[in-house]
Amino acid sequence: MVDWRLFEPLFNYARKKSLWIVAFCTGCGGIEMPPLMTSRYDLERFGMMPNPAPRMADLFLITGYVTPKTLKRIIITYELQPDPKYVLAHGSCPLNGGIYWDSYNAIKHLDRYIPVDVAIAGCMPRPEAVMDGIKKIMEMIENGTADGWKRYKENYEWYKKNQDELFGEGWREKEARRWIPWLKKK
Amino acid sequence: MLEIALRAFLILIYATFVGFMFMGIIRIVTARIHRRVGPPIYQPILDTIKLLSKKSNITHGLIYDFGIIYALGATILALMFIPLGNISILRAYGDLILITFLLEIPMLGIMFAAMSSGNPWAGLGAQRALLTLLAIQVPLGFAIIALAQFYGTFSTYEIVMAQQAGGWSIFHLPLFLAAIAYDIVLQAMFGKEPFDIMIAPGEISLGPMVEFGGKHMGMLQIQHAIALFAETLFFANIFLGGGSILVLLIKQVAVLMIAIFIGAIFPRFTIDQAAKFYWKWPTIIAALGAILASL
Amino acid sequence: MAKEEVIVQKVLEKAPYAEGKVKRERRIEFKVPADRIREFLMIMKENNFESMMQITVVDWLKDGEFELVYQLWSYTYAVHAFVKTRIPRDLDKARMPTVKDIYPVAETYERDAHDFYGVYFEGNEKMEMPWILDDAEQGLFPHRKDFDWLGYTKRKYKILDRFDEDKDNYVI
Repeated sequence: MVDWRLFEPLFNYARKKSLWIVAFCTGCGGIEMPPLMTSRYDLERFGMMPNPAPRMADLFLITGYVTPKTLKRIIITYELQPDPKYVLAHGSCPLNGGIYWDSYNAIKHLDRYIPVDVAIAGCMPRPEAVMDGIKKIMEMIENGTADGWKRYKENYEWYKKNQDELFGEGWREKEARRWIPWLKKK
Repeated sequence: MLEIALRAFLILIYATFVGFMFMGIIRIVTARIHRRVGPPIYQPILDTIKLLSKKSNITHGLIYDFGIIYALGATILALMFIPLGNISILRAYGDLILITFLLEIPMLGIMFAAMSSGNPWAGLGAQRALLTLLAIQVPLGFAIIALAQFYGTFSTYEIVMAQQAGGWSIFHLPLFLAAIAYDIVLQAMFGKEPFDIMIAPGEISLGPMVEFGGKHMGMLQIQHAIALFAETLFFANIFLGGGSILVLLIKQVAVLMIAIFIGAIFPRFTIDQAAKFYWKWPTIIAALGAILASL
Repeated sequence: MAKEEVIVQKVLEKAPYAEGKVKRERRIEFKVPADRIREFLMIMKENNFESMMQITVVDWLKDGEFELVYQLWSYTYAVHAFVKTRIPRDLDKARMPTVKDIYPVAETYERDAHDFYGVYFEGNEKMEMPWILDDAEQGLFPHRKDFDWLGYTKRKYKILDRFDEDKDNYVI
């Protein structure tokens, strides 16, 4: 058989040059996406493309604050993505809560629940800062240090413990069944 | 025997490469119309390499894998029947109806796979794709009838030969009408903008494509590239007079450009509007062409 | 006479129990007792206030009262009307009749007010349906002023040492 490790540099180059983004804007930073994608900053010249389906996406942009309710969807979307997958956290809210530091309804440390590869500081980061973060993640992909997806597999118990602490045991099933009684009543 | 296999392989390589370049051209030209820089022309190749090199792969059963192979196989088979200069292998058997049929089969294969994944968006997209397929049948049929009536044959190769002698098809009025109808149909076959109802990113999140990831999506990219090549090649052959590979390439790019320009400036139809549109204007034009051709 | 004053007079003739005044251009205000809110909103709807914009709850902790502000908008006059009413803020007494049969959009805003403040709207059958809040905060009514916001945050996210009460100490 062919030893695919020989082609790893080519694959890394392709991964770096063709990052598809999940079109899932979690917070206020979603408003930075239109200028990034349209003619002003045009991310498509780096081969990036917003993609509505998580199954074929590589890069997950956490744009802004994350509420527990959104975090459930983020975790499920993150697990739907196929394997070399990268997470880029925008702004100070995913880092430490930002201006929502005392809010009951915003996550304080995102990297306790899913692995974050690159975090951009700022509230909100300008499109230039986001592009800088993307350049950073491209470098990390090329030299193989963007290994968040490996860390998620290796330390899955720890991540799962943190998630369960926040949402309670069995939150996936509970969330999936949440609306069933109300649908039945109709 | 070996020579035929070699030629088939060469055609396949050529079609895949040019198809990827066409996908790159689509993205660049669309970007330029938006006043953006756009990706490099080899971007779809990088995308495909990346998709094929994904480390995890999700499958939803046998039909899910089979549908994609089915789509890819049907596209390659259709490609082999279309005359491509003088290196084509099955061109003598290339029947108009056969090729048209084979060019539509990939959509069915993708639909098998999408429906078996169980995703509601995929089901919705497959429904829309079926409706689009239904809508384009009528004008397509009339355009084919016009061609067959005019030349008195169903063979693509003989039509190309007749055009070498008597001028391109579009210079005859009945076939010009048929070509207009066929070009509108081509817009839906490419999945370009006024009729990209089945894909509809942002509305039903890529429709049938929503569950495909990794290697499945990579195969579909290759299939899309070959289909793009085959569809433009078929149009260039039956309406624009055929020719050698290089001449055909120029004609194909011209066909592609019309599709891109229409796609970049028009918004999307809803499904009922698209069906109404197809059953009204292209049908009238193509039927007129068929009637004129038979007179 | 300005159009706002005409409207206020016309409404007050039909509803003598209410107080009304013009706040400024295109902005009028009414104060209504809580038990007559339904008939007052019917009068408002007859007087061309076609759409409800919002139901706001203001928590007056020292008075022990909630102020419910029904914000109405008239497309005919281009006038924004506040209809204010006060109810006690205790959980068992904070009850209002629903107005969703008068303004159908009120159903959503009433669920909102119930989720965050615990005002119960009688007759709205979707009151118990999950709305914005997650299961963990259900029934805590976090926008009430006596809700221990910081303490709850510390407990929930286990960040005790970070946000110490004396502000010299915290690290962000």
